[in-house]
Amino acid sequence: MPDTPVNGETPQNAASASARPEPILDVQNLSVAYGGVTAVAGVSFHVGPGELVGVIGPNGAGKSSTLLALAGAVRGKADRLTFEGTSLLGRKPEQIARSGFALVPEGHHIFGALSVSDNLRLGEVARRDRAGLATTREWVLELFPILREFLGRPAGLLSGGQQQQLAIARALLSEPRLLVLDEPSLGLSPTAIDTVFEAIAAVQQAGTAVLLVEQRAQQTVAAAARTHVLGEGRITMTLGPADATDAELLAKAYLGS
Amino acid sequence: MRRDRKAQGLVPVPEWVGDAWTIAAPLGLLYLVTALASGVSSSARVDLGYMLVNLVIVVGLSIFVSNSGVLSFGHLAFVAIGAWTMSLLTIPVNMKDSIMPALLPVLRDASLPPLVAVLVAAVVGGVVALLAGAALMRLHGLEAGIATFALLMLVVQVLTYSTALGPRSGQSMVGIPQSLDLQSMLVIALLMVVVAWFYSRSRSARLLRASRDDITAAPASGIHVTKHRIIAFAISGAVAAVGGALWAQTNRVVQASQFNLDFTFTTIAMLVIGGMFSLWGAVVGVIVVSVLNHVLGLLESGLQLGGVIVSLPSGSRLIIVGLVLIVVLILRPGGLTGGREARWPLRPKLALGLSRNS
Amino acid sequence: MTSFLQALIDATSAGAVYALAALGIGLVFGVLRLANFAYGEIITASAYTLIIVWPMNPVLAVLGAAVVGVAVALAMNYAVFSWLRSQSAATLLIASFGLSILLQRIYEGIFGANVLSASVASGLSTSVNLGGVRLNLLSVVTIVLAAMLLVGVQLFLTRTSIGLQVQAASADFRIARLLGVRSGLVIAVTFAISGFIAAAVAFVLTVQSGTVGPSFGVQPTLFGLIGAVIGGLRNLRGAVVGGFVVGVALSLLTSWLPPEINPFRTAFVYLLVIAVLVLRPNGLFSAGAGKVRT
Repeated sequence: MPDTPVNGETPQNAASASARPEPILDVQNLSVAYGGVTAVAGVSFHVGPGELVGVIGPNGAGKSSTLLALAGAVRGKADRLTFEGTSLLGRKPEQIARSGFALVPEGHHIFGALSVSDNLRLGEVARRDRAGLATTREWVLELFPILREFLGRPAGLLSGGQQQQLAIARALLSEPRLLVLDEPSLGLSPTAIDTVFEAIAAVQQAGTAVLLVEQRAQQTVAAAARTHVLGEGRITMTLGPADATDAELLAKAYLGS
Repeated sequence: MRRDRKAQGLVPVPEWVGDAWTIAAPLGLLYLVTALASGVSSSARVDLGYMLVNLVIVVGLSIFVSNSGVLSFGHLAFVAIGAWTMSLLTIPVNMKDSIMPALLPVLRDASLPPLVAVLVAAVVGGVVALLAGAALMRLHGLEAGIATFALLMLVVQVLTYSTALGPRSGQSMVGIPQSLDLQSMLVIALLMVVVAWFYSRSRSARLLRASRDDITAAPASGIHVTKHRIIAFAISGAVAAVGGALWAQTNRVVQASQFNLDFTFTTIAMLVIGGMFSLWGAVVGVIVVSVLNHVLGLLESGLQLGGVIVSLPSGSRLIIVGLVLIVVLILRPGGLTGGREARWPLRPKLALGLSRNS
Repeated sequence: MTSFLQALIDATSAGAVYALAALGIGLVFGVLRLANFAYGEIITASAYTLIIVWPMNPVLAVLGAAVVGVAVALAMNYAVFSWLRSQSAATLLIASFGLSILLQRIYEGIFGANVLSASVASGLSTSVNLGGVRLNLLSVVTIVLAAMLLVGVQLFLTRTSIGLQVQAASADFRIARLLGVRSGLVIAVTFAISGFIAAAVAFVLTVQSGTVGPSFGVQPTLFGLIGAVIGGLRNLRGAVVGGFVVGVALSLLTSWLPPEINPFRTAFVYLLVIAVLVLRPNGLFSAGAGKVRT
């Protein structure tokens, strides 16, 4: 992670301090509505190059809607919504995916009837070119060694944790500059969660920016440069890594009081 | 079909007026169109007869489709059964002997006054629909569509080849007396609209509509939905059979091959263009497509317009109806009526059925 | 014994034709949830090309039929179905029904209501003697052609990147797009392949009959669609087998039913279809058949 000083500062200051380098993802006043129901009501945040940014909040806070709007899968409105300087508004999901933005949606949607290796091949669809593909493959299989053992097997036969690993691995094969994860730990065993969080750390160390949406507040806040707390479609609070040990603050953030 | 956003500020009309309007509007429109069209020309009167027939058929179809949300491609089976029943019960015995020598004795000797024959057609259609429904109504989605279509094909095949039930393979039944004039047809059509309306207000139909969903969705839960679907299917089969009976005595030549894809398409197009999910949609759809058909028919036979003879190649009717159907599906998938029942058009507006907008 | 073998080969070849139709319909259904009733009109367009061009130049006729099949399929996609992408499967089916009727009338307007005739590949209408068994050459060619197309499609779906993308889009279109799968391209490719398969069906059927009329493609499409539904439209292999079963059943009933009830053979097939749907609502070969509620 670049040398952004966050320690000792209030969360608000931390947010503005790291705004210096041109952000890779810039979201200003994003809102999403389904029919008449507002799911996201004016959310602003950014992710710097190589940064890990967290978003936490209870169910129904608008986390998934925010991500789907970023990825072009649902329509959102925003004052500014750019990825590497170009606007994402009105673009198709496949165009966004091909521009170096990879979303791993909630619930590890792998293609169960296809083999693990075919699933991984589908991750390569969004790549700009095939240069360095072998290296990426090798790196991804080192991150998730279990996948190498099951390459020929139908992905549907993997366990939940393995499917989540496959979903992340598939996203990484597009060599994204920003990896967006929607609740990757959902429904996983403690060991599997550790594997996933270790992999996320490794991805970030390799220079890829990560936007991590989670329910596991403590782990997320500790890992992220900034963690935004979402409640009823708005950002109610922004936390820094130092806050990870403040159980009271986390509880308060979570309950949205 | 004008949407009044200011309606909310107004005092709503009493609910019973709105309710009554949902039946008064289709009845009134049907009566008005019939009264107007019967004065236009003799060719208009002929097409009017077919319009009333189609109205009964499509209203029958809509009783099932609009309440269950399940598509049926097979309702022409009940139309065919109604037409067959009507023909066998009204063709004079001596004519039956010459065109249907192998007819079952009981059918050969049966002869009933036309209105009673229509009633019998309704009963036969209803019973067959009840039995078929009991077998098929657990299906949903495309499977239901294909199964109902298979039912139609099965009925057509049996009627085509069974000499015990009709003429030699593929031949037609003739000699059906035209015993109902336009006025009695109109009365029957109005009556069927009333039947559909009363059914749609029954507890059974309300339960069915509550379970109505997209036909691609998972099967509706619970055995009771199946039961109410069967009820809807039976009533709708009976009404469609009445349509078939009227068709037989309007067309006066009945042949199994007439209950084909083109006919199926015409009835479905009428329902979909008007709006698949309401009685009002069925009535509007039949009237719109029938008027269109009539005008196109005039153009096909060459129409003198200010010294120029405008004529369309024959067969353009179905092309244009097909185009209209596709355009409606693209621009207004709910049909012309948007799938709603008729709404009180005057001020003060009804609150009924208006979506609340903030 | 010989006649039994002949009947079996004929039945297999009839099954192969409907299996191909089911494949063409099933491919598009997988990606778009469109049970394309107007598939028959693609077959008809190719058949007109074959019948009209064959007497002038057989090679051109075959190439032309393939090009026309692909072109009509793509035109359907862009002119009609691409506008309806967000609609339900029911709406798509009704639209394709409308398109089917409309195109039949247009063919009638262009080529007339009567059938056009020409003998296409008359060399295939002969019999060959294989180890004492006389076999209809066309039946053999049909089986080989169908097998080649099935294998070809299978290789395309599993070995090529686009094929894999088609599979992904069939399984979950939303997720596939999030992975960068271009929806427009995948749909167009699927329509193109289904159009090519329609041309193959047209070839076999025109060699068989030597004639084409406006509603030429309706029958194979109906049986292909019915086969696909009873085999399970959500699973391509099931759909193909379903089409095959329908073809075999039709053919065997034709040769084995006693003459006095032979006219009812189609009725038996429809009865069979209803029975299968009632007993296995999710398709003969679907793994989810256990979901049947009793």
